Amino acid sequence: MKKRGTLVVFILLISVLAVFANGTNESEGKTHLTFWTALTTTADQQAHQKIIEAFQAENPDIEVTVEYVSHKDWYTRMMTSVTSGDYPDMVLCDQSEVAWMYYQGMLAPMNDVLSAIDPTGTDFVSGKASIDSCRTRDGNVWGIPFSMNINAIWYRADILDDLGIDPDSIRTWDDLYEVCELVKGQGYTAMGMALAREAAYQQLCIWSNANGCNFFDEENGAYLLDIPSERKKVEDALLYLKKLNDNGMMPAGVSNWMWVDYRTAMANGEVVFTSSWGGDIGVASEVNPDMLENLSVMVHPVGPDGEEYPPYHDAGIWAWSITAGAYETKKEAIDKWIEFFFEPENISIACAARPVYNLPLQKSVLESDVFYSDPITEMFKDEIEYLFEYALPTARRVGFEAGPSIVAGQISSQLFLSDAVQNYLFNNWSLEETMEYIDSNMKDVMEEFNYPIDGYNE
Amino acid sequence: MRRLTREAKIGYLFLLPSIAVFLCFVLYPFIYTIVLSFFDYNWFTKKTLFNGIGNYISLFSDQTFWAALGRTIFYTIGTLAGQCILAFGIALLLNKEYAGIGIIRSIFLLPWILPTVVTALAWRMMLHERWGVITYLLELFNITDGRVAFLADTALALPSVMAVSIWRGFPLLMVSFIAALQSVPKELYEAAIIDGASWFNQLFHITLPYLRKLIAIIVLFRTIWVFNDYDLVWLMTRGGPAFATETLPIYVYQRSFGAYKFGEATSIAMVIFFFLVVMSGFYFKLIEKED
Repeated sequence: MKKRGTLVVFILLISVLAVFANGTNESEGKTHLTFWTALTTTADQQAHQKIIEAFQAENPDIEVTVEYVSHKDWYTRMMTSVTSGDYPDMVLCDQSEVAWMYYQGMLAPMNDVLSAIDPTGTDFVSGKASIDSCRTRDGNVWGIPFSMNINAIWYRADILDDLGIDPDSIRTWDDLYEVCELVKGQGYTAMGMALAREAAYQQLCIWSNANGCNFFDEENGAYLLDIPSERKKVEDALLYLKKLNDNGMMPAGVSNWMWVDYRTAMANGEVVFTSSWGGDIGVASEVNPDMLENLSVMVHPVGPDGEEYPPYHDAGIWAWSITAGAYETKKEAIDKWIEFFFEPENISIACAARPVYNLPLQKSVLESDVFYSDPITEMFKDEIEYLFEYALPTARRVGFEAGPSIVAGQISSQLFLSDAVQNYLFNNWSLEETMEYIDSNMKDVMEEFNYPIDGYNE
Repeated sequence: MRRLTREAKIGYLFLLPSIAVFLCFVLYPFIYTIVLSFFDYNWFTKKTLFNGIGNYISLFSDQTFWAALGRTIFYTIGTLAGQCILAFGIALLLNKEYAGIGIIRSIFLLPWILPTVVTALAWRMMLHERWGVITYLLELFNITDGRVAFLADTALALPSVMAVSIWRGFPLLMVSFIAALQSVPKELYEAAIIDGASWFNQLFHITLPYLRKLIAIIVLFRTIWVFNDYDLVWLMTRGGPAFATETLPIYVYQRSFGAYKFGEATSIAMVIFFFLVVMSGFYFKLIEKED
C-alpha cells in the first residue's frame, strides 16, 4: 500500500513538473518568440541581446529568445526541425536559406510587415541585392533584408602603396595576376579566399560573375550554361582560380579555408588580397586593430569574357523570415518585433556587429547619423560609399538572377559545385570533367525539383 | 496449452520495456531502411516512387560510391593495422608489474576516454598548417621545408585522419592485449628461456601463436567499428578536401542530408550493412571455434 502511495505521489510530481516546464511563460501571460540565426559571432550575439533587451523593455508581454545555428549546420538543423515540426517562429538568415525554406513551404509572406516598415516602398535600395532577392514572381515577399554584404577585392593599401601600385589600375584579371606575382616576389602570400568544402562554390560563382556570367537568365530564369559562350565564362573562372593556386598565389591549406580563415589572415597581415564580403574589417578590429588603417577595397577586376567594368558582383543579404505556423498564432507580436528591429538605431546596432560586412539597405538608415556613429563604420565610410556606388549596381547572387528559385537554395545547401571546384583545383580533375560534373549536377537538381530549365513561360 | 505462472508473467512484463525499445529504435528503423532503399525518395520534394532494385543498380555504376568504398577499405585496414601494432607494442611494454604500472596504464587509456569531438578538434588545431604545433615543430627542426597542410592536402588528409583514429582507438586494443598476454602461461616462457630462446623467438613462437585467435576476434570486432567510423572523419575534414576523406558513412550522410536522396542513401547503408554482416559472420565463427 505504501509503495502504491509513493508511486502515485511520484507520478503527480512528474505531471506537475511537466506542466510547469512547458508553461512558465504562458502562465505569466507572455508571448514567447524564438528565432534562429546563422549570425553567430560574439559581436552578433551581443548586438542581438542589446536589441532584445530594448524590445522587451518596451514590450514586457513579449519574450524573445535566439538560438545560434552555424551556416554549416543550418540545413541539417532545418531538415530535422521540419521533420519534427519543431521550428522557430522566425529566422535571420541569408537569402539562399530563405529560398530553401520558402520552397519547403515553411514561410509566411511578409508583404504586410514590409509595408509597415517601408510604407512608401522607396526606403529600400533597389537592385537585385535587396528585397528582390526574397520576392517571388507572384509578388510575395518571403524575407526582409536588414543588411547586405558585397563581395569585392579587399587589399593591403600600405603594401600596394610601397610597391607603387595604383589599385585603380587593377581592372582585369591579368592586371590582378601581375600584381599578385609582384607581391609574391616580395615574400607575401597574394590571395586569400574561402575554398573549403562548404564555401568553394561561392568563389566559382563570384569569379564567373566577374567574368560576366550569369548561370540563369535575368528575365525568365532559363539555365544558361548550355550556351557555349556562357559555359566558357565559367571555364575561364576555374582556369583563373587554378592559375592562382598552382602558382602559389594562395596559401598552403587554402582548400580547408573557411570564411574566418582568410579574414583572420588578412587581419594578421598574412595575405595581400582577399575575395571577401568585408568581414575582414570586423575580424581585424578584434584581433589586430592596427591593421584597419591598411585595409581598403576595390571592385572585382573583370575577366577575359566580361564586357562591362565593373563586372557583376556577388552579394549576400541577411533577411528576417517568419515561419508560417508561427504567423498564424503570434502575428501581432512578430510584427512588433520585426518593425522594432528595422528601426534605424537597431539596424545600426546589428550592422555594427560586423562593420562594413553588414551594410544596411534602407536609405533612412544610411542617411541617418546613427549608422556612422560606430567608429569602425565611420572609419570605412569612403569604402562603404564606394561599394554602394560601384559594386551594388551589379550585385546579385547566382540562382537569384530572376528572383529566388528552388535551385538557388540547393546551390547553397548541396555540395556539388564546391566539390567540382575542389576537385579541379586540388585533385587534378580536367576542365572538361569538372564542367561536365557541374552541368550534370545542376541539371539533376533542376529535374529533381521540377525547375523549368528553359525558363518561366509567363 | 500451458498457462503462464505468475512469476513468468511478471518476468515477461519486465522484458516489455526492452522489447519496446528494440522494436521502436532498432527493428522499425531497420525495416524502414530496407524498404526505403527500394524507393526513389527525396526528402525535400517528398517524391516517393517505387524503384525496385534501381538504387542498387545505379549504385554499382556510381564512381563516387566505388571511390568511397576504396577509401573506406584503405581507412579500415590502415587504421586497424596501426592500432594493432601500436596497441600490441605498448601492451608488451606494460605487461609487467612494477610500481606505478596502474597509473601508466590509465594514462595510455586517455585517448579512448576523451570525447571524439574533443579529440577531433584538438588534432585539427595541432595539424593546422598555420597555427598547428605539429607542422611548427616539423619546420623548426628542418624536417619539412615549410608548413605542411595535413588536412588540406588531398594526399595527406586521409592518412592524417587515420593517424588520429589510430591514436584514439589503440587503447581499447591495448587493454585487450594486456589481458590476453596475462593469460599466457608463464611456464611456457620459462621453458623457452631454459632452451635459450631469444625475446623475438618467444614473441613469434609463444606469444603470437597463443594470442592468434584472440587477436583475430578483436580485429574483426574492431573492423566493424572502424568501417563505420563517421564522427571523427566528419569532425576533422567533413569528407574533404576534394573527396579525399569521403568514406562510405560520410557518403551516406551526403546523399541523405546533403542531397536529400534518402532512397539512394539507404541503399548504400544496406551495402555497408551487408559487408558488416559478412564480417560479423566471420567474427561469430571465430568465437565459436575459440569456445
